[in-house]
Amino acid sequence: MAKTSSIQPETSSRSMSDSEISGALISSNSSPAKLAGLFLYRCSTFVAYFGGLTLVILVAINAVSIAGRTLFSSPLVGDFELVELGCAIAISSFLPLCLLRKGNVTVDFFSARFSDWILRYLAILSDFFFVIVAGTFSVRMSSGIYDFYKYGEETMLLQIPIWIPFIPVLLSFYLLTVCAIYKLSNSVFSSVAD
Amino acid sequence: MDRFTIGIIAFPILFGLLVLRVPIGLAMLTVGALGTAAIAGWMPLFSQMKTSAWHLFSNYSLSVIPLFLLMGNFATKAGMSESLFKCASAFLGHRRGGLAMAAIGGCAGFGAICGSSLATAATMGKVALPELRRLGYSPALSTGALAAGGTLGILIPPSVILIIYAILTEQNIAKLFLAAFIPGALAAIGYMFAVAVYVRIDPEAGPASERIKWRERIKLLFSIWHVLLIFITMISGIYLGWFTPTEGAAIGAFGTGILAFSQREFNLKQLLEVIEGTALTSAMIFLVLLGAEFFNSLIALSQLPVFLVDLVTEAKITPIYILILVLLLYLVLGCLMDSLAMILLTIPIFFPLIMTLDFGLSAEETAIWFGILTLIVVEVGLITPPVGLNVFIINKMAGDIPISATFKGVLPFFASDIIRVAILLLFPSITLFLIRLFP
Repeated sequence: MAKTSSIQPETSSRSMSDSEISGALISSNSSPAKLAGLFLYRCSTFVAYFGGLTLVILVAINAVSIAGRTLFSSPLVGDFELVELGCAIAISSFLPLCLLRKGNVTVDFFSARFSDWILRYLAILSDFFFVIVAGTFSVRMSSGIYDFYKYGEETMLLQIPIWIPFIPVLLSFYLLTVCAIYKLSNSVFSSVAD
Repeated sequence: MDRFTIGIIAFPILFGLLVLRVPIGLAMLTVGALGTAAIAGWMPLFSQMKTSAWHLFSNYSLSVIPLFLLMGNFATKAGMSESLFKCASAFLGHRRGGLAMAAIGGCAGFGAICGSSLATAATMGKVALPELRRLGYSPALSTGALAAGGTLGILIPPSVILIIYAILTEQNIAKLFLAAFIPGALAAIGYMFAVAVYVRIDPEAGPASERIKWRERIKLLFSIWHVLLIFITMISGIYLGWFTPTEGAAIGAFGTGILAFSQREFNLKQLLEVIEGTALTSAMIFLVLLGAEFFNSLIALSQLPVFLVDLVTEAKITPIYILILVLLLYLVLGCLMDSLAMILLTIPIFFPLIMTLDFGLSAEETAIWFGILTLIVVEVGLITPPVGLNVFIINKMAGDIPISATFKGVLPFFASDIIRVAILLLFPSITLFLIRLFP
C-alpha cells in the first residue's frame, strides 16, 4: 500500500498482541521455532520497554537540571553526559523490536506489484543483509568496548568509564543479531515450504 | 576503479537495492560500507565500525529526536486533539466548510506540540472525521482536509525533518524553527483558503453549522491553554537560549506526559503504547541515520559534491533555475521515497551546491531558506499519489470512501502547497522575516 512502513507512530495498528505477532512471524508449525520466535519477541519488547524507561528518566533529569539552574541557580553537573549515555542505551535497545515488527522503512512503490513468491525471496535478501550487518557490528563493537576498557576512556565531567554504558548497547546489538538470524531462517524456511 | 567511479556507481546499486525492498537504512549502510572499503580498504571500515554506532547514538544533538518523539506520542494520548478541534470549530464552524477549516486549525495546533505528520493526521482524524461526516461534509473534502492538515505536523515547528536538516548542514536548530513559523502559518491559512474555494465551487460539500456565542468561544479558548503553554515555553526557551533543543524537547515531553497522565483513561497499557510508538520510530530513524553516516562518508570520499559544484559553476546557469530544478526533483522523489531518507540521501550532495550559488542572501540565510523550501516540498509527497501516506491513513480511518475520492479531495490543498512554495521561492524575505527581526 504505502511507500514506507511509516516514520511516525501509528500506535493503534501497531499494538498487535503477542499471538498475532508470532503468527505473522512464524509460518512453520514446528513448535521449537514458534517458541524461539515468541521468546525473542518477548525479549525484544522487554528490552525496548527498558530503553523507553531510560528515556523517561532522561526527561526527568532534564527537568531537574533546568529547574535547578533557573530556580535555584544550582545546575546539575554532567546532565549532558547522562543524556548522551542514556540515549545511546535507549536507541540501541529499540532496534531488535523494530526489526521483528518490520518497522524499518522500505520503498514499497516498485514492489507493490510483485507476486508473493518474489517478495519472499526479497525478504530473504534483506534478512541476509541484516544478519551480515548486525553480525559485523556486534563483532567489531565487541572489540570497540575492549578498546574503551583498555584505554580507560571516561566521560569528561562525571568520569564514568565508557565501557560500562557500552555493555547494554552491545547486548542490544547481540540480541539484534540473534533476531536477524531468526528472521532469516524464518523467511528461508517459509519460502521453501511454499 | 578510481574513487570517483565508485561514487557514481554507488547510486544505481543503492536504488537497485531499494527497488528490491531492502530497508533504506540497511541499503545505505551496505552500499556505503562496501564503497568505503573499495576506496580506502577494509581496515579503516572495520575500525570505523567499532564505535560509529556508539558515537552516533550518543550524539547530544541527535538526542533531541527520541525526546521529541516521546513528546508527540504523549500528546496523542493527552486528549488535546479534542479540545483543539472543539475550540477551532467554535470560531470557524458557522462558515460554509467551517468544520473542515477547524480540522486544519486543530492540526496546526497539534503540530505545534508534535513533530510528525502521520501522528498529527491520525490523532486529529480520530476526533474530527466522525464529526465532519456526521454533519454531512462530503467524503472527499473531509478526508482531503485531514490528510493535508496532517502535514502541518511537520511544517509547524518542532519538526523532526528540520532537526535532521539542521544537524546535517550544521545550522542552528532554533533559527530554523523560528524561520519555519511563518511558512507554517501560511500553510494553515492557505489550506483554509483552499477549503473556502472548494465549498464555493461545491457548496454541498461543506454545510455551515450554528454560530457559537462569544462567551462560549472564549471559554473554549481557555481549554487549550496547556497546548499554548507547552509550545511557547519550548520554542521561546530554545530560541532565547534558556535551554538546548534537547532540553526543550524534554520539557515538551514532560508537559505532554503530565497531561497524558492526568487523563482518567491513561493506564499502564497506554504508557507502554507510548513507549512502543517512540521505540519503533526512533529505531527506524536511527537505523537510517546510521546508514546515512556510512553512505555519506562514501560520498565525501568519492568527491562527487565537488564535481557537481564545478560542473554547475562552469555551466553558468541562473541560480534560481538550479534551485527550482532541485525542488522539482524533490517533488518527484517525494512521490516514491520516505522524506527522511530523501533528506539524508540528497542534502550532502545538493547542500554544498546550493551554498555556492548567489541568491543575494548571506550564507546562513540561504541555508535556512533552502531548508524550509526543502521541508515543504518533501512533505508534499505525503499527500500525492501513488503513495501519499497521510491520504492512506485517513482513508483507512474513514473506511467506506474510495481512495480516488480522497486523492481528489486533496487536490486543492496540493495546489495551495505549490502556490506557497512559489511565493516563498520568489520572496525569501517572508521566510527570513522573523530571523531578521530577532537576530
